[in-house]
This record gives sequence, C-alpha cells and structure tokens, in this order.
Amino acid sequence: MNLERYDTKVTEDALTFEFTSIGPKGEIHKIVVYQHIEGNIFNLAFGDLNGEIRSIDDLIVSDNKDTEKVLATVASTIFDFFSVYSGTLVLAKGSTHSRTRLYRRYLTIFLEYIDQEFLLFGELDEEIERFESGKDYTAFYISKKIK
Amino acid sequence: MLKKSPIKSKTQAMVDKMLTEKYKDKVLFPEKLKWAKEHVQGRDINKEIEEALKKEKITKA
Repeated sequence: MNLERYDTKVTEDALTFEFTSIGPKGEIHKIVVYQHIEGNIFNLAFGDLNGEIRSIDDLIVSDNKDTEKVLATVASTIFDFFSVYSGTLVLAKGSTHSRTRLYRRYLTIFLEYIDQEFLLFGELDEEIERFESGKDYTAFYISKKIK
Repeated sequence: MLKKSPIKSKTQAMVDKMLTEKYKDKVLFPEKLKWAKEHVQGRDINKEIEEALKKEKITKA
C-alpha cells in the first residue's frame, strides 16, 4: 500500500501496535490491538493513548487533520498481523454507528489495495456478505486471500 | 489451530521488546473484547464467510 502512513511499533506477538499521529493538535499516541475472540477469529480494536488506554476510538474527537494517514496506518497493521497469523479472520467495528460508517468510507477508498491481498466482508443484520461499496454495514470481516 | 509464523522480518512495524513488556498480561479495550465475544457467540462465522463466498460465486456466474 503506497498511501502515506505513520511508522509503527509492535509487540513481539504482533498483536499490539503503537504509532503517533502528528497534526495541529500535537502528538496523539494511537494503539491498535488484535484481540483473540475464539478459534481463528480476532477483533480489531483501535483508540487513543493518553496516559491511559481510552476505550473511545473517535477520530472526530482527535481531529488531528490526518484521518486518512491514521486509517492507512491502521490498515498497514493488518498486513503485519496476517503475515504472522495466517488463516485467521479479523472482525472490525467502530465504537459508534458514525465511526463504523467512516470505516466503511475508507475501506471503500482502500478497496483497490485491500482486494489485492484480502477478502473483505460486510455484515448487515447479522448476515455476512462480500463487501460492496455504499452499503451501511454494521461490522466488517477481513481474511487473507489464499494464493 | 492457529498457525503463527515467526515475527522477525515479517512485519513492516518495528518489533519492540519494551512494548511487549508494557502490555504483557494486560487486557486492552475490555468492553470491545466483550462486545466481540458476544457478537460471535453461538454463530459459526467461518461457515457464514464460506456461504458469503459461495453466494458471490453464484451471483457472478
């Protein structure tokens, strides 16, 4: 993916990533966590780190004028995660409906890149389907294509 | 069974031992983890994914 992104640090188990957003509001430390749910399924959680870990993953609150770069960085961690955990499935959902919509918008923007390596799915009313642009999905699933 | 590859040279991110120590044994975003577990509970997500792929193939055919 050739989009601009921040440098990231990762734990040795490749499950927790940190990076720093830099913008008009200064430096905002971000964390991306892949949480094991069950079997081969992981949940992607993402938020700000301000001394302690906040549960709110709201980019509008952060508003550091770098949303695309931040989300491209989060997307880059997916590549790293799957390079270590092959055969897994990642669930992603925003903390609010508007946050999930924002993810959908950027997933659509990144779709060309995502499609080369990954299979993207959307969930509507607990029904999973292949991701299609413009649909108001409530959650997303990502798996790596088997080549 | 999860298949885990060695992390070294696999990631674009810099592997940081201090970060490992920082988050060792910590449950991050517990409410999100709880939501995710409840969301998949009683469902066969892998089967649902398979079905979604089958449906896509049928639709495209």
